[in-house]
Amino acid sequence: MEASDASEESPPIGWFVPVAVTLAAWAVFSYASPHTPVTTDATRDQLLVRDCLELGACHTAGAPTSVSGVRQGAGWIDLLALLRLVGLDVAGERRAVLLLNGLAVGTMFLLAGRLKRSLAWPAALLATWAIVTIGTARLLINTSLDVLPEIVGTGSLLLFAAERRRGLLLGAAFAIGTAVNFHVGASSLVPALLIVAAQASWTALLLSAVTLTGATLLTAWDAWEMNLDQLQQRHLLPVALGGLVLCIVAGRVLRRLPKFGVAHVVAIIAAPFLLGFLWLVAAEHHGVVASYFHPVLGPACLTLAFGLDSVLRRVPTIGERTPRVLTVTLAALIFVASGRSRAEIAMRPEWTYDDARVIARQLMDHGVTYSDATTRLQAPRCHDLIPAVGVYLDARKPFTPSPMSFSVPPGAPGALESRTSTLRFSPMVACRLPVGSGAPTCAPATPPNAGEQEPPGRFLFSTRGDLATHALSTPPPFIARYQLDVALTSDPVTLSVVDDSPPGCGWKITGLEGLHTNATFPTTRLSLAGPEGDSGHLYLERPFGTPGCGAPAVDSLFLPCLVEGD
Amino acid sequence: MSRLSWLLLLLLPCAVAAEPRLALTRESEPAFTELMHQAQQGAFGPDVDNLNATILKDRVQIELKERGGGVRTLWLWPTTMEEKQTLGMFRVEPASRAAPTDGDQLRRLLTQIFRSDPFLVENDGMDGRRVNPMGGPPPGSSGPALAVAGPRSRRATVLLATVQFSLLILALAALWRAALRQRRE
Repeated sequence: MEASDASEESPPIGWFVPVAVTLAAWAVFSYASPHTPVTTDATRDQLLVRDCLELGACHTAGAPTSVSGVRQGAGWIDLLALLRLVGLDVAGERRAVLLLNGLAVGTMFLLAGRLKRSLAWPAALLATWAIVTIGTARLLINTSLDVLPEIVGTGSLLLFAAERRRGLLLGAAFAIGTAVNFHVGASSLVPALLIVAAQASWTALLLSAVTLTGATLLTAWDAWEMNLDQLQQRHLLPVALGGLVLCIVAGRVLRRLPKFGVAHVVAIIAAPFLLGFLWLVAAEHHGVVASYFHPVLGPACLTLAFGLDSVLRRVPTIGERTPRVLTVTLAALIFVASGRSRAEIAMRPEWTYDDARVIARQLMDHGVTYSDATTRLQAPRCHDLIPAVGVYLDARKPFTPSPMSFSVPPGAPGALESRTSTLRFSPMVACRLPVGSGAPTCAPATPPNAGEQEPPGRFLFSTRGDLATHALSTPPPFIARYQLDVALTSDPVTLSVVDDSPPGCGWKITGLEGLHTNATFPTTRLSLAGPEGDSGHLYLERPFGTPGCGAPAVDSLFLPCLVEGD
Repeated sequence: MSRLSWLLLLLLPCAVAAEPRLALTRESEPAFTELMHQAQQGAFGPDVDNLNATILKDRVQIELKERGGGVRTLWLWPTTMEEKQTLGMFRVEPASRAAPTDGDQLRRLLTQIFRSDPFLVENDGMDGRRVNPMGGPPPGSSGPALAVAGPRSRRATVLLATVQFSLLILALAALWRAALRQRRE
C-alpha cells in the first residue's frame, strides 16, 4: 500500500467530489439515525454542558470513563456547548455531528484516492458502513465525533509517510491531541506519532510533541492531571513514560530503513492500539465493543479496502472490474446496514430527546421546575426520561413543591396526565451507606425554596451534571438510600418501583415508618390506605458495587422510578 | 490556504461574540424599589434622601440624591464567574462625585436584597427560554453554581474551544490540500 498510482489512472478529481461524498455520507447517517435516543451518557453530557452555559461553571474534565478513575477530556462537552451557543438544540447538535462524520468519510475518500486511486470509493464506503454499523452515528456521545480528528490525525501521518511535508506532521499532532481531548482511547495513536516524528528528525519530534501536548491539554488540563494520577496509583506511569521513550528510540532506529512508507505507518498505528486493547481486556476485564475501535477506523478501512482490492484482482472473473464490483457491493452493504439501523431504532422502546422536549414544555406549563421533575414525573423507563427532561428545564428556578404528580402514557409524550400525589418529596434525605467499614453520609435532598439561600451540604439535583463533585460520592460497595415523606390522600394507592436490574441488585422499598401496611420488606410494590392526611416515611434502597450484579452500575444520584397507581 | 486561515481567524472572535448577551428584566424591579426605600431611610447616610435606579438592559445607573440637590452616580455591571466569588452579583463602579464608601455600602445592600443573580441571557438557543448563565447564589453561600464550579469561565471555554476547533479545521484543510494537490501533479 504505497502512494504509487495517483497519476497513472483517470484525470485529477476536483475538490467537489470529496465534498459530494461528504454530503452523501451525511445523508446516509441522517437516514440511518433519524432521531437521537435518550441514553444515560448523552444526558450526562448535556447536563455537563448546562453546568457551563446555565450555571456558569465549565468543566476542565469530561465524563468518567469505564476505566475506574480515568476521565475524558472536555473537548466533546466544549463542542456541544459551542453548538448550543450558535443556537442549536440537541437535534441540531446531532445534525452537526453527523455532518462532521460525513466530513470524515469525505476525507477518507480523498486520502485513499491519493494513496491508490482505485481505493477511494471502497475506503470511503467502508468507513460509512463502519460508522453506521458500530452505532457511532446513532449516539450523541463523545465517540460520535472522535472519528473526524482521528481520521485527520492518522490520515496526515499516512500522507506524511508518502510526502514528508512537515505541515502534515504538525496537523497530525494537533488532530491526535484533539482526538485524545475527546476520547481517551485515542491516546493509542500517540506512540505512532512519536515514532513517525522521531523517524523524521529531532526538530519534527519536538514540534510534534509540543503541538500534541498543547492540543491535549488546551481545554482539559484537570482531566490529564487526574489521569496521570491514576497511572501513578496503578504504578503504570514509569511504564508509560518508558514506552514513549522506546517509541522515540524506535523512530530513530527506523531512520535507517531504506524505505519508510505508508504500510509501516499503518503497522505502527495498529500495534499500540491492539496492545492497549489487549491490556484493557486482560488486566481491566473490560468488555469488547465494536465502537472502541474508532481510533484506528481510518487505517483499518484503508487496509481492508487494499486487501479486498488485492484479492479480487486475482479472481479471473473479476480482475480489472474490481473497483466497480467493490463499490457496488459495499454500497449495497451500506443500504442494508442503514435500513437495519433505522428499523432497530424504530423497534426499540426508547425515549428520544424530542419526546423529552415535548414533556418538558408541558411540565413548564404546570410550573414544574428541574428539581420538581425529579420527583413528580412518572413514566416507563423514567430513569432515562427524567434526567433527559431536565436538560430542557431551568436549573436555577426556585423549587415550589407541587401536590400533583404527572404521568406519561406509553408512546404519547404529548399527553401528560396529572393526579394528586400521595408522595411528599419535601423534606427528603439522601444517604450513602458504605458496606463494611465507614460511616454513612447523608444530606438533605430538598431542592431550594424560593428566595431561600442554599446551605452547604444540601443535596441538589441541579448539580447532577458533575457527579464527582457531590458530597455523597462514596466508593463502592455501598447502599444508596432515599427517605421520602408519604401523606395519604382519600384514595387508596399502590406505589411501585420500576427497575429492570437483576434480582437483588435493583431499587427496593425497604421500609415504611408511621403508616400501616401489610407488605413484607424489601418489596417493589406497596399498597397504602388509611385516613386522609396520615403521613410517614418511605425508604428506598439500592446496592452499588455488589458482586453478581453484572456490569458495575453507576450511581447517578437520582431517585428510582416510583409509580403511583390504584 | 492563507485565505482560509484568515477566514478562520476572523470567525474566532465571532464565535466568542456569539455568547448570549446579558440583560436585566422587569423581575428585578421590586429589588431596586427596595433599594430606593433603604436609601430614603438613610442607608447611605443622613445627606442622601433618595435614590434613582435607571435600568439600561445590561447595566444599571444608580443616582444618590443629596438633600442639598447634588447627585452622586454609580454604575452596576454584571460580574464574570471569577468576579462573582469576590464581588457578588454586581460590579459597582463609582462615577460622578461618588466615593468608594458609597460603592461599598451599595454592594452590601445589593447582597442583602438580591437573592439570585438578576442578569439573564436574552436567548440561550433552546426554544428562546430565559436562563441565568452565571447565576450563582450570593457570596458566602454554597449553591449550585459553586457546588459544580469548574476552574474555567464560560467565556474562556468559548475562546479555547473555538481555538481548538478552528485549528482542527485548519489541519483538515491542510490534509485535503495536500491530497488534492498531489492528485493534480
